Order: sequence, then structure tokens, then C-alpha cells
Amino acid sequence: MQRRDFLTLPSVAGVALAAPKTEELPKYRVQSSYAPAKQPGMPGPFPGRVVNVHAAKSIDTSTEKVDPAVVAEMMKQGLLALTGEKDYRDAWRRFISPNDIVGIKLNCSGAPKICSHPVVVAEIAKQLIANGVAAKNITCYERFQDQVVSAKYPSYLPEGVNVWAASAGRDALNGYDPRTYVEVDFFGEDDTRSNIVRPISERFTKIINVPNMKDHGASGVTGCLKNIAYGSFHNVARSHRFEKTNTFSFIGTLASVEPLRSRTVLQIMDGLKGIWHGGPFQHADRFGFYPARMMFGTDPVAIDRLLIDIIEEKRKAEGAISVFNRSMDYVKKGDFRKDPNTNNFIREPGHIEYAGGLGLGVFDKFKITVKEIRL
Amino acid sequence: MSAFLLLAAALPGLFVDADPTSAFKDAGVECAAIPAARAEAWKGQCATVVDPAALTKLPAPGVRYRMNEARASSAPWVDTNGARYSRGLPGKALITAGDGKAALAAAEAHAFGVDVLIAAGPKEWKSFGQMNKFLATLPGDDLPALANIGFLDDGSPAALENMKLLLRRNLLFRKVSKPDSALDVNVKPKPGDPSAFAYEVRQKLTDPKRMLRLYGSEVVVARLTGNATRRRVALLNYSNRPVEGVRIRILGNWPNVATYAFGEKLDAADVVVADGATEFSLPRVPAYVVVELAR
Repeated sequence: MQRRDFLTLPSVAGVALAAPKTEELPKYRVQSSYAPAKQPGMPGPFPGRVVNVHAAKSIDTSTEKVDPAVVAEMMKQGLLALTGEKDYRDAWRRFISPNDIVGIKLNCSGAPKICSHPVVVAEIAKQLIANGVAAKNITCYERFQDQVVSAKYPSYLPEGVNVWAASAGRDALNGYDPRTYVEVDFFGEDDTRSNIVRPISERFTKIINVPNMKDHGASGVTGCLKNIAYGSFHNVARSHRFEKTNTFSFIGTLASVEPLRSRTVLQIMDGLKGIWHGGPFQHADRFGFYPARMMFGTDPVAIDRLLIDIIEEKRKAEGAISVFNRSMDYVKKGDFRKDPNTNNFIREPGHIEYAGGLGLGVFDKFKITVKEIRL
Repeated sequence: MSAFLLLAAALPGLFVDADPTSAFKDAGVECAAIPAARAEAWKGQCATVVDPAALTKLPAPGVRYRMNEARASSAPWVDTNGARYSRGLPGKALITAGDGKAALAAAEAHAFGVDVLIAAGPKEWKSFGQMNKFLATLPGDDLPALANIGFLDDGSPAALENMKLLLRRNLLFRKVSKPDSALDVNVKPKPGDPSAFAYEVRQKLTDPKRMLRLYGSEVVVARLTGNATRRRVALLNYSNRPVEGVRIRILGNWPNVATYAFGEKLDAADVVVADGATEFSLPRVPAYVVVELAR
């Protein structure tokens, strides 16, 4: 194992976010009766701290088979480094106690080709059980049932762990809390509410977020913030109906809603496999790549700030336009599912900095410390 | 807010251009409307001769998803006769309803309190009979329709399109011949994009003044009737499958909620009375649901 100390990263020159001006932002109304925790889970006890664990043997790039033993070690090293604890159980207990009811936020929007890998999710569930959480009090959740089913989680998970989707049908409202929502009118749509996934407000006491490393046609990248935000609320696709989307401000706004913000205590980014174009889906095999790494933290903004660089670097290597490119010359000028130099939207990677401004974490790379671990 | 009385309509009738068969009675339909040419065959049966030429012909209600058609919105296209009903019919209407639409057509006519015949083949008779049985069990509807938007209908096709979109967006209007100061907003017809027109009206009215709002579906249209002590929300699901969950908000404090659903037992959930409005959820919306609310 190679380990480097936490490094403070320099700012990337030439990154011009060209963010929408505040006065152009939609007017949001948050309806929630939940008070924030004394220390909200996001950014949690480790703002600006990220542990990046790389293990080339974690995934076989020819078969995409994931090695459970390597993943288990990545997770152990990652959490020990994040917390500074010596004992792995103590590291977990910084976030979870035996009487918690835990939601594991999956990312299945691109399943089954790209999703929170079942081996990663199963290892998290095993560690929760090992730390005293009853299997019946662990629920892996996502919004759409067909996507969750396609990833086949039950065959990997310890017995008794639940897998749950909010909507059997694509936009069914039943799995959502009618009393907790964000109200906003983006373009004159009649349904102006986005309700929170019901168990988040009514059942879970803690949430572990397990996003992937992906490009996203509308938001630029999709990592911790987008997974926890758009994956925890109803009626969110309306934010990217047109070329100019509202992902810039909607993602951070949703992630800030209580009790989601307070209860999301740990971010485990599954970057064993990633998508460098066409996300959240994998439209072509060539858009997949294998970072073979996992990132750990409590600060979703800091992790996503690093994600921008990972996706940007890969796109550059592939000769694709930058995620910061806002020119309409590349919008709807071809089939984005085949051509990495065309897109359906103007990407909004600035959503991460915006979320940082809402207090969800640290965006400034001078203030982010990264511990690199190689297995 | 303003109210106007709808004449209580009889249950929708079935128009049958065929000789009688046992399938008719098996479907639970007692009587038929028939063309004169079938009178001899129906002798001894409960049948009334009607002249189809004297009836206003209307299409079947429903939804078209139009996935392969370029347009400004991905919202499904709801085909409703509600605008025609709101404009007023010269007499009885005849709706041709195949493809599983007879029950919905009957429910739509009931919700709007209009007198219709539904022309449907034997495949439709059972669902039509079931819907009519359900309609007969509903509490009496002597409540006036409620609206706070006045629409100055000039009888033009554009005005009809405007009304369709007001209905589609659950913006409660009534036809007026001159502006009514009792209403919050009075609007004239506007040619062009009817969806943009509906949004303009919505902005004029403002969302807090909307008497009824519906969240969670683009294929459910609501009608609101009521008086000082009661409200009735009639919900028509224009798609061919139940909607899994809607949330309804109506102005006023109406804590007692009773639900009547076509084909199943349903209870309203998560009733909240606050800020001058009542909200409740329905876990499913089949073709037709009637919700009675009281103080």
C-alpha cells in the first residue's frame, strides 16, 4: 500500500464557470418541518477532506468483474484515513450507531451498465451489520423500480437488507412525503412541487450516499450532490427540459432540504467504473472508463469538485469538448449518444460551486485536502 | 369565487346499433338507445329510438402520448370533451367510444353534468355497465360548479382550444357573456398557443388563488362543485391505467374527506388543513374518483 498525506490542491487555472447570475435564478420555496441537526451530515465533521483510494485490481476492465476483497480493503483504508481512527469499527461508529435506521442511496439511473456496484453496496451493508445495525433496518433505495431491479442487488446483499424504490411507475407520487417538498415554477409547468422520498423524512435516521463518477449532459457531472438531490425527490427532470437547464441551482437547493441534509452522513463515491460522456447513461461502450478508485468523505462539494477534474481530464484525453463549454455550437447539433462533441443541454458544472455557497461543503481547491491511497 | 348550477343529468345512456343479445343484459345495462332501423329487433326490450342525426357528435375522451411528434412539451395530450360541455350543448350528445373508452366517456359526462349517449360495441358494454352502476351509487350531486375565472367565450374555435387548456391545467373557469366582478379574473379568448394562454391566465390569477391544484399527474382533470358546507372534487383519469398517487389542494377548510372510486375502495391519506387550504393524497386514481369534503 502506498499512502500520501493529505495534500492541499491548487486551483485549476482557466476554469470559468460562467454561472448564471443570482437574479436569474428561479424562486424556490422549501416546505419542511424538520429542523437541522446540530451538525448537519453535509458537510459533516470533515468539510474539505477527501480520501481517494485507488486499487487497480478492484475491477477487471475486460470483464468488469469487481473483486469484493479489494473493495472491502479500499473501504477500510478509506474510512480509517477519513476519520483518523485506528480501529475500523470506531471509524464506522463516527457515522452510524446500532440503533440507526440506515438508507443507502444508490445510483441506478444508468443501470445496469453503470450504477452503484452491488459489491460496493453489499460491503457497506456488511459493515453496518458488523457494527450492530440490524439488517432489517438497512434499506438500499432509489427512485425507479425498473432501474433498481436491473442492478440485481438482492443477490449480493446480506440477508434481511431491504431494497426499495419510491416509484413502481416512472412518476408515481406514492413513495414521497406530501408534507416535505421544494416548490418552484421553472417554465410554467403545472406541477410545481418536488416531494422528498418518504422514508428519508419518516424512517431513516442516517443516509449513506453511493454515487458514481459520471459526466452528465445537463449538470456537467453527476456525483454526490446530484445523486443525493435528484435521487431523493420527485418531479426533478423538469429542471432540464430545455437546452438551458435549471440544474445549476436546483441540485444544491434540493440537497439542502432538511432532513436530507442533516441525515446524509457519509459519501462513498464508487469510481470503479465511470462514464465520461452521455451520462447518466452509458450509450456506447467507448464512453465507459475505469478509474478503479473510490472516494470517501462527508463533504459532497469537495468530492464533486475533484470529480469535475476527473471527468474533464478524461474528456480532454478523448478529444471531447470541455464540460465548461457553453457554446450553442455543440448543442443539439448531432446525436449526443454517439458524438462526444454534441450535447442536448448546456452543461452546468457550476452547480457544485453553487452548492458550496449554500453551505454544503468546500468548493475552493486551495481549501480541499486530499489523502491519496494506492492499494 | 362564483358558482353556477348545473342541471342534474340523467345517467349516460348506451346507444346500440345492433340487434339485442344476451351480452347486453349480462353487462348489467338495463336499457338501450337504438336507431329506428333496429326498433323491430328490440321489440319487447327496454329500448328508446333516437335519431343519431339530431345529436351532437363528440369524440371519445382519452390520452395521446405523441412520443414521436416534435412539440414544445413532453406532456401527454389529453382529449377531453369538457370544453364542449362547458360551452354548452344544444341538446343531447352522442359520443363514439371504442378502445375501452366507454366507461371514461360516461364518467366525464357525469362529472360535467351533461346528458349523453355513448355509442359503443359489445366489448365496451361491461365496463360501461360497471361505470353506470358506480355513478348510481354516488351521493346526489346538487352542488353548483365552482370557478373564479370568467371566460368570455366568443364561440370561436380558438376559444374552444383556450377552454380545453384551462381545463387541462385545472384552472377553474366558467363561460360568461360579460366580465363578472365576482370572479377573480375575466379573460377573453386568444388565438395562438393555447398552452401559453392558460399559463398567462394562471399568472393573472396567481397560484395561491387557484381553487384547486393537482400534483403528481398530467392526465387527471378535476372538477370542483360545492356550497357553503360541502365541496365535491370529481377526478377524471384520461389515461388507460390507474395513476399511482396524486395530491390535491383546495381552498378552504374541509377536514372531513370521503372518497368514492370506480372499481375499488380508496381512502384519502395525509389530510392537512392549514393556511386556508385543505390537502389530501389519493394512493390511486382509477378512471373516476369522487371526493366529498365537509367542514
